[in-house]
Amino acid sequence: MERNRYNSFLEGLEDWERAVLNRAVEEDLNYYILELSNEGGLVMPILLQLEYVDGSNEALSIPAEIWRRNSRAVRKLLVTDQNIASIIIDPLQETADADIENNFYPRRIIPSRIESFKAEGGSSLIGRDIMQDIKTELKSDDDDPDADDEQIDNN
Amino acid sequence: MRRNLKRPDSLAIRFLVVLSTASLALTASFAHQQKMAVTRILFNANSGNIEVMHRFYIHDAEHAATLIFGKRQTLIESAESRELFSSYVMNRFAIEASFVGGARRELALEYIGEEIDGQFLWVYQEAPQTAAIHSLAIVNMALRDVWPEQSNLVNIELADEIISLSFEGAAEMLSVELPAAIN
Repeated sequence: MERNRYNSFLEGLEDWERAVLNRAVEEDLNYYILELSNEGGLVMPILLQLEYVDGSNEALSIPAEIWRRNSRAVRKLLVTDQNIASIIIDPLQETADADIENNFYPRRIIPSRIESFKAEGGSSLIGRDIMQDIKTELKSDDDDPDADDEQIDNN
Repeated sequence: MRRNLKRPDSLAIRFLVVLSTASLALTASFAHQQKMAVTRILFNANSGNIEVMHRFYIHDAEHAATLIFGKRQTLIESAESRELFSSYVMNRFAIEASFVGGARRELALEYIGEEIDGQFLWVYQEAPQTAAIHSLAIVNMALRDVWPEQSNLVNIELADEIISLSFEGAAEMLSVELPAAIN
């Protein structure tokens, strides 16, 4: 039944459509349509990071002109050799995006400020002033080894 | 008007310069202090915690810490000073939650840590959320006992809106009814 339906579908095609279909079947590529919506109102270039199933990455920058016909919602066709495992919008946070919760496919849990502080232990180089670090008192051998674990009292 | 621009009165300009230098000298000791702090309160559905993040200008906090503790405090270079300041902040901040069912209790906010991020000093606290909450009463006197003109903004970040409380003037405790009880 499906085969008959497929055959009648093929018969109904124009010649050029059949040629396109044959080429697509032969090439065996992956087709993805990304539906992107503009929640904030400001049109921005769309910076994408595609991760393929083999772990390789590709960066893709779509200029802001993509919004020229519709500034609310656009669709973008991607044709790739490999299957896409995940897509991140604006991975380096270069655009004026206020909400990064909806920038991941598949969706991810974004850690809150405190959660990421706990995870990285709050000693990243970004937050540090290395010029001031030079004034840190050097530890001597007779220092209490537990001194670092000191927590201040909550009360 | 246009003629004045072309041939400025040099005496008037000199007078203006003298005047502005005089006012600079008057305000020099208070320069750069913003006297504004922001506190974010977040109900984290993923961890089930209520997270409190205080953000101070380092410049303000350093002046204040020196005044409070009587000894020069250097917040950028000394973790000890930062923890001292953090304990001061935590002693002047409290949340009393009204739970669905009528119970009222002060949240046992636990110290998580402090962090410098650019020109800001952040102080982190959190408490587990045990039951559904329908309203909050918040006390925030951090730095307001040092400078009367200090104003503290508290943002309660809900799923689709932010409720702001502004601690300024005589406000010591402010209450807010949440639009929907938070579980």
